[in-house]
Amino acid sequence: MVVLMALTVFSPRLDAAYGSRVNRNIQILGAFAMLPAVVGLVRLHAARIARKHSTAVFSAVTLVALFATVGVGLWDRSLSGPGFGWIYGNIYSPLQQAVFSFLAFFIASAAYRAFRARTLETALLTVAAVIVLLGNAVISLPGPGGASAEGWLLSVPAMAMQRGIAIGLALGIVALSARILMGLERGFVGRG
Amino acid sequence: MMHKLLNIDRRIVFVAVAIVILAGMALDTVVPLPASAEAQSVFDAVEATGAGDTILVAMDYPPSSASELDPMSRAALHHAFARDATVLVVSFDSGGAPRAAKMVDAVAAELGKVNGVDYAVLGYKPDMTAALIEMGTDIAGVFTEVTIDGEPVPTESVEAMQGVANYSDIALAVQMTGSKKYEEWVEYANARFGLKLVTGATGSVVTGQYPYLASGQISGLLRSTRGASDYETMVIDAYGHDDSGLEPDASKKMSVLFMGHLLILLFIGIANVGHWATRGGAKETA
Repeated sequence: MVVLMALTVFSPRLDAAYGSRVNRNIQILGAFAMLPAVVGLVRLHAARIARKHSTAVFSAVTLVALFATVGVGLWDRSLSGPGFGWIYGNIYSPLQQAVFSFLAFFIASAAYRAFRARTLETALLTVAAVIVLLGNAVISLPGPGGASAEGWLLSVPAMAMQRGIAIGLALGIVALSARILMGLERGFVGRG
Repeated sequence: MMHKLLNIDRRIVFVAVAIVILAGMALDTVVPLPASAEAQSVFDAVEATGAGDTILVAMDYPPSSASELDPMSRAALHHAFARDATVLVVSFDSGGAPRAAKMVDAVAAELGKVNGVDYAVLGYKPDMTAALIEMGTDIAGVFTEVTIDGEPVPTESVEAMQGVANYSDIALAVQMTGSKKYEEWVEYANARFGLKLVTGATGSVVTGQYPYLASGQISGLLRSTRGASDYETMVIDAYGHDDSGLEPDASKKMSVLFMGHLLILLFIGIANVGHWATRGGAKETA
């Protein structure tokens, strides 16, 4: 299926003949991939509860939350049903936002500890951070070519770095994919 | 004395952040800012669409990113409806799909737009890559049903989908994300099928989008809360509160952001003063 999907990218004729079928089959396979994931999760946490592991309470909470959400979703038969909507709006959504909001505190503390001009490199990092922080708040400093300083930092040096990372990642993915398809890389199935 | 500047207890930092954020929220003021060029490009791209054009709004983020991205999504929906465009909404984030549906229904209700006629919520599909590629051929084949008045109906029968078979029938896609999902939109919807794309991103992933902005694969970019503030201000200035129905949201958050950023800058300043005043002497916290 993976080989056929790759071939459809390079061959318009194959794409016209099999493209839609391949894409829909991959979506169906993707949906079914949820099943082993749920089974694995249940087995892991059930084993922890049975062994009275130190995190057994959290495992119990995970399993109760999983089955309650699935149960209510099946009962509602819709993502917009009242029960599922209540869980989503009153538990899932506020919890996610609360956890994410902790970042404000941790980032302030991390910035205080990390942005110290101890060496030339950390001095450059600190100056760049201060310019972007100022620009994202209110005060944009003038940069080269009439652009704002934070805009120049993001669209020139940071972009060059991002391009380098993207090209490196792409080459790495191609190499790893080729190794997996040739059976040389089996770490993902637990073999070295 | 100077040594103390290097080792401020983190609990003091946390309390200071809490006080400053609460003070910023209490101020509840709109901070006037000049619009960034990237946000102006997003506004111009939506503005270039005409009545009857179809705009695809992708809200690919979970509730954790909602604070930064909801104002962008809301402004994009108000702007698209103000242009009399037909709006299609998708979400390739399972945690964000219910939120996306709720938001578009609320905005549409404010503006008197009708589900199925002026807009359609296509919803969520697993395996984003396969779905994005297939949408280039047959959108209704990927999202086979939509919900109208609580009842599932075939997508192809909905008035909002008439004349919309694939990406070539969509004038513009506006995609918001707090993860790397923008890459798949660029690689498949834009690069392979030529869909015009503008994006909005949280501060944590925005730097990754600049190469695509420079190459023209992304036509405009909203950068975190600042980008959202710029964009909603432009929409309100162009259409007014009454016609756009849009209330400032991100612009009010900018006062909180401003004070929070100033506090972080203050702590960075304190740390560096302490470091340079005690070089070689004090033991610093890592």
